Amino acid sequence: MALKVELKPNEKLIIGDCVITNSDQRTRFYVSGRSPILREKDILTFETADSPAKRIYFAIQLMYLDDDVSQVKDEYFTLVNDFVRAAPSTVGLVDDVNNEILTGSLYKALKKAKKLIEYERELLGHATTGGSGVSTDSQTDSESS
Amino acid sequence: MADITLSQSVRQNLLSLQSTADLLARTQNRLATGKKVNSALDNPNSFFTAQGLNNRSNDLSTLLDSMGQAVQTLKAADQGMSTIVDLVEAAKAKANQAHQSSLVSDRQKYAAEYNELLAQIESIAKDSGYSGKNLLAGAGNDLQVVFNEDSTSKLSIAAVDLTDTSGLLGLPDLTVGTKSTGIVTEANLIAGREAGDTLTLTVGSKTYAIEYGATATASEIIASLNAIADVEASTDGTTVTITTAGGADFSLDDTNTTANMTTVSGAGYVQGSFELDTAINTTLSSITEALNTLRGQASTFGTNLTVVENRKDFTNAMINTLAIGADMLTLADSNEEGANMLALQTRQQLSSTALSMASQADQNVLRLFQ
Repeated sequence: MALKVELKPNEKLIIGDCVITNSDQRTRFYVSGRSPILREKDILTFETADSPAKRIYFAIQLMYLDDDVSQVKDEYFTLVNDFVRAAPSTVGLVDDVNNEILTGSLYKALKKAKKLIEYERELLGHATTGGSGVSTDSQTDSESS
Repeated sequence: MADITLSQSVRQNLLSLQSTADLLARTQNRLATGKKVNSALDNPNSFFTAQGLNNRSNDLSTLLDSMGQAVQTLKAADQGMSTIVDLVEAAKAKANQAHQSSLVSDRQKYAAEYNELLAQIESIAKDSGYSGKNLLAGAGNDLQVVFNEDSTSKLSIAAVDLTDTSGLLGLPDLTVGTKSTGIVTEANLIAGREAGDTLTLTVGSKTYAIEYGATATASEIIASLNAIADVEASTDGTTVTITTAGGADFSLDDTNTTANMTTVSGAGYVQGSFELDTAINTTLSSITEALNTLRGQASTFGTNLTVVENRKDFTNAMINTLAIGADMLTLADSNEEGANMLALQTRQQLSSTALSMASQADQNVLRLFQ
């Protein structure tokens, strides 16, 4: 089944090993085959991957574009484990991502990694606003709720 | 004994003592188990989350076990396969040696050794299993490796049947061939000797003339017979046994019939597979095909092994991540997590992990995307 792609003027797209840059008109076309495809809005470069969750996304993006998990695996888990250590509440989301990678659905893994980026944005929001937000689940020792 | 009446303040003190004891018990339990949250009463949210993580971890460990089994099975098959490739190459050497020898008796020997190699291949194939699965034993041995709990991601590895070399490999056992044997008494052997006579040995299309003068002795004739390629003659003093290899059953007779010897004929000749060059060439080309088949299959197993090993490594790392999450679960305070995340962000900027990913990106399509 062919994938329908629509590009805005000057929008870029990665298909397999190529970067496709649209000219100054809207374009619509279909792609058949099994090469990785990424739209410009879904692409992070090394420079724009500037937060822990974005770096995880970036690592998965490398796996997806090269169709090879093993090469970035060690770096990926370093990132992921640091991430979970910093924010243990993310372990469920992270495991979802891991599961997609394990089962070979790298594109779905990218989608799920986006949720990590959103969640991270919330957490960083808490931190930068000085912690004025209400703690979602107080886990003090003294009382059992 | 009169009833004890507790004042309001005493009751309050007792209650707080009770709760201190409770707390102490809980702390002791934590010290004993090393876990911050041990039961649903400690902290329901964390407890059930941690339990969920542990269950998931256990599920993955189960998968890991079966992946480990698959790795071992593939390794056993791979090992068997490479031994079989060596044996087929040895068989090829036998066929080449047979080709180089013009003696049919040598060729028969090589054919017998060739058959032994085939038998070894079959027994190696039968022994290449691991815990009940043998990828070289064909039907019923297909391996299925499951990578997730609901079995939607799996790898099926088809077994091949090498337990009979005439099957997939197309290398049937050869006919070794048998020699033609006949006996003659020494008396009969020299019965026809006379001046100017010759003995003629006929083996298929070949004929050999042996001097048969008036004074020829049995032992001279035996020596002459032995000197002919693929012919053996021996005596026990009265009876001479003659064997020839190749061609057809032999016959031995004299030319002049004034004094005549009774014709001696051999029996039992069977043509061996290696007797004719064309047959050897057919075998050699079958071996080349068999080697190609084997190498192709070995590389399929190799690829499968890599896939399973990679997934196994990945699953291991996943379990590790779950363990980290479960251990630190009680930290789950979003303010603290936010602060941690900021710290991590700064720390990562100079990490080797980041650098290594940058170089990976330089090697793929992302380098074009600036």
